[in-house]
Amino acid sequence: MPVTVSVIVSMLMSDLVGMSAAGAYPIIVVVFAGLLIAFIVAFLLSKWINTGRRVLYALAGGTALFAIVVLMPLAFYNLDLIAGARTLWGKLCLILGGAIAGYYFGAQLSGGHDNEEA
Amino acid sequence: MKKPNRAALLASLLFCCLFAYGSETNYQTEIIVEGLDNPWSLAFVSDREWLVTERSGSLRFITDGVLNPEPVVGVPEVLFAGQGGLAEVLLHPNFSENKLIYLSFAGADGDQKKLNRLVVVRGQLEGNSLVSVETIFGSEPLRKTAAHYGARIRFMADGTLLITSGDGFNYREKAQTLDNHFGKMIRINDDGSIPKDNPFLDTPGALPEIWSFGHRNPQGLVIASDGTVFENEHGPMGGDELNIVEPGKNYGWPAITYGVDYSGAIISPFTEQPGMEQPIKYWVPSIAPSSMLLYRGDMFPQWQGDLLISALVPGDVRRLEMDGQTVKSEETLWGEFGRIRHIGEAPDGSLILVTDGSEGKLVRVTAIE
Repeated sequence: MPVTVSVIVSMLMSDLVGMSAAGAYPIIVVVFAGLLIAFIVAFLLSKWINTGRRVLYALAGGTALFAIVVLMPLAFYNLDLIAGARTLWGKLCLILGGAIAGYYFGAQLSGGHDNEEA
Repeated sequence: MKKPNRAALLASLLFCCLFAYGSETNYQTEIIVEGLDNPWSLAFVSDREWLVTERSGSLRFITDGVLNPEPVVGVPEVLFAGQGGLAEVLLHPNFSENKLIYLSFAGADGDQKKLNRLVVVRGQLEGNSLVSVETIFGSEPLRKTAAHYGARIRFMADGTLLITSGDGFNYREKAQTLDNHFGKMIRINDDGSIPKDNPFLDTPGALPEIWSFGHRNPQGLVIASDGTVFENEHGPMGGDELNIVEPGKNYGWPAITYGVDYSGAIISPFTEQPGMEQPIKYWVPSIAPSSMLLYRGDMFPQWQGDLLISALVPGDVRRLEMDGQTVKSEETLWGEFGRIRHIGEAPDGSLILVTDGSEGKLVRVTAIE
């Protein structure tokens, strides 16, 4: 059977709901918790390190996703619990996604300006 | 409103109770062995002597219901991690003459210790020792994960050996291609050579051992007297399957499935596709079917021809009443022992349940006269 655009859109919607609420382990919660810890550390570091907030939070976001998709499987016999993270390309995309999320978060905190510019 | 007739109600209730009692099978359960370290499989050498595998790597004799504290010497080193370790023990059909037994296990690669594979060996049992051990199958390619090995083995009527090989968890798409052993059923001769009538011998790029493909983690395997091959496999979250397997056929994983991923993500939008086989039964939610038995004994004549499937979640046995290749009904039995890893039929027709975990037990089910 063909994988049509409507099937793709339907699966994306199902995944957004399913991965938030229907899974045996809530991936969205894991990502939220990872980013929360990373951003708190970034906030504390920003008091001591004189660098742009956007960069700092981008690093934090990327590190959080790195921990989830690279380090977490080591505790589960190398099982990649996020199917999209089974390949190197998938891992890189997710880590990049974390970095972009962090960059955006840092930009919001600094009102569009890095802390050294504020 | 007319009052109900109490006498009629009581008579109906009595009739129902008597009918229910009459339709039940009377049995008793008894824990006969305790203290097993993650037991996985069981083989009956004789009425008195049984063999049990422990996933941590030991093969042990049970004689007259007493566990030998000394494991069998000569069992190869296994990778005991995750779902890996020593799994199946199976006697050769001519065991009484050749003393050959077969073992399946997860084994670390000799050169790349972080990688492993499903291995099947055979060796001769001499007292409490295994000698002349030789590897007759090793899955390719190597895997980094310690999960989804399959690892069940059964002899077919023609003397060839069927081996279930799981998808390794991370490698599920490979179950649909024939250049690897992930998600396959393998058929070899009893010495590891390739039978001349395997279905993909002439398919370019296909591994010649492959008998069927598109499986996930098949751990139950039964060959009926008419040659029908029943197989049950773990689905993901939902979608456990009971299949009738035929050579050369594609059982669909992961292109079609009735389950979703543990993360809640969709694995496939499809439950059927042309050229892919349907299960004769599937379970949503999952029961985690761990082994399967076709009951042939005399102790429970009313169950002869039924499939008994041990289940890890929540932990029970499913008795499937069969009408040929169709499931007529399902009954849940023995839910009081927790996760059940294996079910075996002893030579006297009693049933032996093997419970899962580091404090594994053998539970004997016998009929009440």
